[in-house]
Amino acid sequence: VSAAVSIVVPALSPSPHLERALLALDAALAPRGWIDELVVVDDSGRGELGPWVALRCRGARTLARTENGGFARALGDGVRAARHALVFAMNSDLEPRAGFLEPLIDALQDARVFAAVPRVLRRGAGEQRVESLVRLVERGGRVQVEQPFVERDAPARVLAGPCALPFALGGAFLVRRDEFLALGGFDALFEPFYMEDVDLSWRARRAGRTCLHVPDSLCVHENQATIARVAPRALIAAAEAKNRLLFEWLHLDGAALERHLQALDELALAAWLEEDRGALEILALALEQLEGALAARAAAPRADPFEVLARACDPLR
Amino acid sequence: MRIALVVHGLPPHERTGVETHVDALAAALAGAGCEVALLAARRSRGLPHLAQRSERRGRVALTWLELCEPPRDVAEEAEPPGVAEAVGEWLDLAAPELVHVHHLRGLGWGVLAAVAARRLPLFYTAHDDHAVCHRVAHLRPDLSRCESLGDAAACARCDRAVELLHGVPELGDWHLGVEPERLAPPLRAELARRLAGDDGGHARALAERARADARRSAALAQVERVFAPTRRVLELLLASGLPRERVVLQPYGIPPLQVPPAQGAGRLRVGFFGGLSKHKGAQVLLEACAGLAGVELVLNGDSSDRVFVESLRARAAELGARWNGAYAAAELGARLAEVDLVAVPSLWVENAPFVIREAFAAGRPVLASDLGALPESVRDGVDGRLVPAGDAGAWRAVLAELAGDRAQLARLTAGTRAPRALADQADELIEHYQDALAAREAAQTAPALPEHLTAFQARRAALACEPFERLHARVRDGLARLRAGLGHAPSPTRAPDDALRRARDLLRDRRRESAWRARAAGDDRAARASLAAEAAWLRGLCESGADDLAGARAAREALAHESAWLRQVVAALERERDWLRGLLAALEARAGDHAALREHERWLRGEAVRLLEALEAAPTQAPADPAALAAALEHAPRRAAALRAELEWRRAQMQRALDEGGGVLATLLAPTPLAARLESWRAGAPEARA
Repeated sequence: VSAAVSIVVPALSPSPHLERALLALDAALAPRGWIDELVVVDDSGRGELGPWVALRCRGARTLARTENGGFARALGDGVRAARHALVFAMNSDLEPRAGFLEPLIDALQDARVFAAVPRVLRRGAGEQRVESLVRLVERGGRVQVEQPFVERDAPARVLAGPCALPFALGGAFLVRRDEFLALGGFDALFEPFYMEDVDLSWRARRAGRTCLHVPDSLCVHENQATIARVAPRALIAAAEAKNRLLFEWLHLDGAALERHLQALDELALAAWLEEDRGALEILALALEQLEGALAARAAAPRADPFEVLARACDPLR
Repeated sequence: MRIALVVHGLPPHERTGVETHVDALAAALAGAGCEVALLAARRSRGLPHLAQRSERRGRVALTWLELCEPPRDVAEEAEPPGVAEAVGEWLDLAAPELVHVHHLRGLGWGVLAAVAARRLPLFYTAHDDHAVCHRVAHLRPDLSRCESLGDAAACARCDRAVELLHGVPELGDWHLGVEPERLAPPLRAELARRLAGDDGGHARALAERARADARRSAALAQVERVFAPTRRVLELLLASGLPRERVVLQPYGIPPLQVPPAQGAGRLRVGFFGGLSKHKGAQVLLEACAGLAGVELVLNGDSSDRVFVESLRARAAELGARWNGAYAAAELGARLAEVDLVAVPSLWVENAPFVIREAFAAGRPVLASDLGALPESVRDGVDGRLVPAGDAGAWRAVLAELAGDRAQLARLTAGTRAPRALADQADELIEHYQDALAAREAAQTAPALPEHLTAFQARRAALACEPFERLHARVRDGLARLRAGLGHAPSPTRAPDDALRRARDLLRDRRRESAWRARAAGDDRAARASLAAEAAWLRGLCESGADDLAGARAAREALAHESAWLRQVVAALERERDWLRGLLAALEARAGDHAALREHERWLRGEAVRLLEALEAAPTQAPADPAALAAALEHAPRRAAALRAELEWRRAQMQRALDEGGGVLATLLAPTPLAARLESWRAGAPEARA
């Protein structure tokens, strides 16, 4: 397993966590003889990151965007500019540990695997508190994204070997470059952020592919170090809620979709009765993108019902 | 432009000037293209306090806010509990771009803070003196005029007097005041005392008033622009401390008035229009017209001061004045057509009565009191006459003059000019609104968000400004499109209709009520906890009091015992004292004996010395007579033996006297049972007392 990897790190500005990430990458890539490529995508829109990155990691290449476009667009640019067939998408607040790449590359040897996901630990927590073990559950017509092992330890059997995941966390996954681009990368429908990674993985899943959690690959995540530092909480919550609706409109079907539409009717009525304009504003924000969502839904391949697909890749199954 | 208007009342519940004007102004603004949401207070039977009910009035979205609980004190009058929050909820739903507050009587100054908290441009029209006089009219409760401005002590005296009058139900709704002569003498005296600040509650009232005034000033400081309909109000606002650049003179406009052709009549027909409250002075006008030849008085209007209205009506019937009663705005033209001139005999410092403008619109001259801002509206000798306020004689004279001088009446009628149109005022207001919004927009700094978030943030901000019902309609429409796009049947959920709206209103009422009950229950719980703590403290106090009492009883008994014992000790000491006195007397007697014995001993020693000297000298001084010598020699031993014996006796006596003295001394010095008792008492006495 010696395939070279392009590591793409979108970054908004110089920061202590980016510095730690670069040092960690330097330490992790050096033993591989620097056969890999490190691309830092400068998403500041002002080209201010290049010299700063060069000072900290001589092996890194900086790709400057002319405008600030957010994580999804910056990652897309980075992947397109990548030289290798494998791309590791990485958030700037992630610190990979030595040897993190090999198990992931190994996992991608299986052609059915769309993305390989490292075991992402929350900084300061133990090695069994795993952010990357995610679930996707439909309850009452609403899709819930769950990270069950952030607040409690993951059982040893889940960490004993690779297991299927419903999606790959956007901030840490290895993917084939061409496949990522062929799927269109992260859908701009989900701008400004959140759920774009779930959507991408789910589109692959609908096409019969899977995401694989690889516990032997370790990374540490600095929680709330990027977008939470530059955007108000209410805006983040609104973006998340809006995109959850869009994801549901794209991917729910059958009985789950019926339940979803009923839930929306109830939500709108309850919001009207309780004069809760916050809930209506979220619905209105999502409905402004309805046409785009319906077009994306129409373009998605037919697949098993949502709950069947979700159950098959539930790490708690 | 979405505008929210707030006013303390509105027709048909309130028909006086400001309420009618705001009703018309809202329609005019809507007519000029603004989206107008209007909140007005009212009191309805069967609806809970602070309930809100919405309806459409033409193009205006009207919301009634029910105010059913009167304020309980000065603080609640200034800021009634829950009102600001209710207005805030309404603002959140109406999502206006700016708010124009017209009157806050009953609503309280907290409404301004609720608007400011939402960072909306805030306008306020000072229709009267409410912004500087909490009683609005610069009238004291005895209907005398108040000349103070911002004098909390004077206002507190009014508050105390108002408290007194509130406690006299037979006065009815006495509104701004009552003539003292209508009060029973003790009540009148108490009213005078309170107005002089001579009663016990003045200090408390002053503190409360100062607090309420400070809250009012703070609330007004948040207003972006204050409109004053007259120069007088403008000057008052400036004198109260508002900055000049924020106060704008804006004369009233009135809506078009349809007046049928006047009907000729022989007598001079004088019309009174408006609120039949004491401070409006209809009673003065009635007395001025009493028996006045060639003059017919026509009274139009009503008020909630039923006691006064009924007395006025009875007096009008007695004097032959015509009583037309209340009228709707649409009837005004016809009623104005029935009079030759309009009288405004106000006793309070009037600002800009709409009836003057309406009279001019109908081409009727106006007789007005020479008070307040009335001279700004009526040009004396041009379109009316100014008459001393409250002076029935002066009014009578002017009316008699006009009744006899129809040429003067015709000149005054010709001097009237059309008042400003309401549409003109609305246009001016819209310009102010636009200026404020533009300034607000220019002042807003760009958010420090990354660029890729700004578009999303802008969408959120735009939706946040959308009125609630429109937002809901947009969502319903979107959800219908979603169902259609997904190939699903339309939603079975029905669109909100009136029944659902009523259900929502009820739901809101219940929610507010339950929140209020929860708060009240919380207060009750806190009060109960406080009472329980107090009761426990009192119980503890009682228990420790009982212990103290038992201790005191025991101490008293111990003291009684000690007292009895001390009495015994005193008796024993007295006995001992007497015994000691006797002993002392005996000792003194022994001391006398001892002294005598010492004297005798000294004499004996002298005698012995002499005898020995004689014996020693005898051989050298032998007597010539041998017989005598022999006799002497023979006698000398006997004599010596006798002296020796006597000396021994004396010595023995002295020894006995000494022994007796020493015995007495020993008795005195030796520990006696009594001394021992005294010693033990001294040692134990402090403990016994403790």
